[in-house]
Amino acid sequence: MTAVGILEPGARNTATGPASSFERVWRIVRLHYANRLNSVIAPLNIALLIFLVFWIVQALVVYATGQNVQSGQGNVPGLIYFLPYQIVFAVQATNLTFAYALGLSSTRRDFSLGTWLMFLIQSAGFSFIFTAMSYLEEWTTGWGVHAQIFHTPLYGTGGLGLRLLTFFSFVVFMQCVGSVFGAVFVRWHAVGLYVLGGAMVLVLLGSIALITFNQWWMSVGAWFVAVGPAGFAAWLLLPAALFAVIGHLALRRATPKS
Amino acid sequence: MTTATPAIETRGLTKRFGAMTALDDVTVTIPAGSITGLLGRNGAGKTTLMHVLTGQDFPSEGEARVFGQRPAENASVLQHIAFIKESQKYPDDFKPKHVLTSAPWFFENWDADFAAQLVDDFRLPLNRRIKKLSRGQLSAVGVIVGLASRAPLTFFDEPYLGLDAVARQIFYDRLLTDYAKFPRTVVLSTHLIDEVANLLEHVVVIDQGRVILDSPAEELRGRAASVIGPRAEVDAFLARGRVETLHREELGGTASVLVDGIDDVVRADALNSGLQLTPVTLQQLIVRRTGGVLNDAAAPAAEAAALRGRRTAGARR
Repeated sequence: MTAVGILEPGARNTATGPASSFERVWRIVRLHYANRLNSVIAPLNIALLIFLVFWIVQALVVYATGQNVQSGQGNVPGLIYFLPYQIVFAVQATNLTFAYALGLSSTRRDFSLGTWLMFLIQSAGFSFIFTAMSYLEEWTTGWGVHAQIFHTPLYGTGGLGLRLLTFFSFVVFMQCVGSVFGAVFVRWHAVGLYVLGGAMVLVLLGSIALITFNQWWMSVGAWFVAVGPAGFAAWLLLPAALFAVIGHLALRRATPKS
Repeated sequence: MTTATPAIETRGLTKRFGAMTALDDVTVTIPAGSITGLLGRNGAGKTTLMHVLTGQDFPSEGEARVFGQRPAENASVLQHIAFIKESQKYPDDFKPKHVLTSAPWFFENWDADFAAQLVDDFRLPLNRRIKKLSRGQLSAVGVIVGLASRAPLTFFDEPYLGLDAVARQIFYDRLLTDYAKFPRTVVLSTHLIDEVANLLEHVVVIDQGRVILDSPAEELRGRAASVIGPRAEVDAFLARGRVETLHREELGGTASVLVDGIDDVVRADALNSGLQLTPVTLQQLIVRRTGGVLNDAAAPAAEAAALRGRRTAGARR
């Protein structure tokens, strides 16, 4: 390889040699965590805020009604409001960190691989935290006020594995969706986002129309029942992977904006 | 030695954005182990050329090779390149300290002590958000990364927008000292041609996407000069057709003509005709080569007027 030759000028004795392919991917992961404000601190704060709001509201409900029972909020777990931020986070990671990574002479391929790895780590981390919180919620009878913040109707009273999988799937799905928006923005700018947004609405409405006109809703319902909560969470990983790949395809010819 | 493979080689490199041709059939060779000035006006294509050479963008036609290989998506080449650009984007809420933590992961020759020294030199606040930095401080971030990375090939694209004269001098000094200790290839694009003229060993000038000069700096310095003398004598000298006129000024009966293509014969000819030859700066040569010529009709009169204005102002004082 000519790489040996070009190392010579400017090389120092302490140089560790060129980075291996895993190192090249791993440093992208580290880059995403170089400043933990967006990747760790902000999402945890959001989770905390959601927790406090739901806990206080539920406490008020219990106090006002005098009923020490679960109110209607159980149908939508408070944590669902955590998910949109994961889209925002992924958009930022794919937009600005992409420009910075390429500025540091990274390839687009390494950037995508590193970002996917970061998504997995990120989702696993949140999954552990939220699963732990869901057990705490159970043991404290909904934080003392019958609040349902970390329980979703999806896993109900399901076991450890199901909870871990559910949280993981939803977070990683959101991040992969966000990465498509981020990548499309980098590649085609605002126009791309309009087209993508429009296309997504059309695809969604089209699917609903297709299902409605063909009277497939029964089958759809049957499918949900058949796969069960664990099956659904697992199936969610498929579109997530698809979105991740679409994001990479958009980035493949993208140029950092100036 | 690695001089066998040039650091950069392009052949017929063309880059189009829609109807706009940013690079038009660019063929240049930049030798390894040199400091090259990539000069030209705003929008001439300097940044586009560097974008293509660093794999940030893709050529429309032709070929770009860096250390003998295509740079786009080629990790084995890219990891030896540092590209410092004026418009570099950083992740949200990044501070200079985050940059100085993360950049070393990407450059194997990174020298942390050198980086720390540069932070002191440029008085860069490490703990302030990048969005809140002044233009000069933002430039300092890039300059520090570019120098401390000691990448075998370092591009500086307008690296010192907003840097004051002292900071720019520090940059030149540090660059030269470190370059002497750790030879590498540096490509520097700038508008401050006079300031960097003494640094440059090779000069590439592009204008409207085309290469109009590509030669060792030493060669350029000798080949252009101002010929000054009585108008008739100057005209007779020019009529012999040995040189190319780039710019002409007249004041009374005296003409001063900036010409390109000076050699020993021309020099002797001018001196024998009683004409004065004064050297011109690299900047003057490039200014006249990249647009000054277009204004030929209007420029002499305007400049003569300006000259007269300056004189009267001086007399009043």
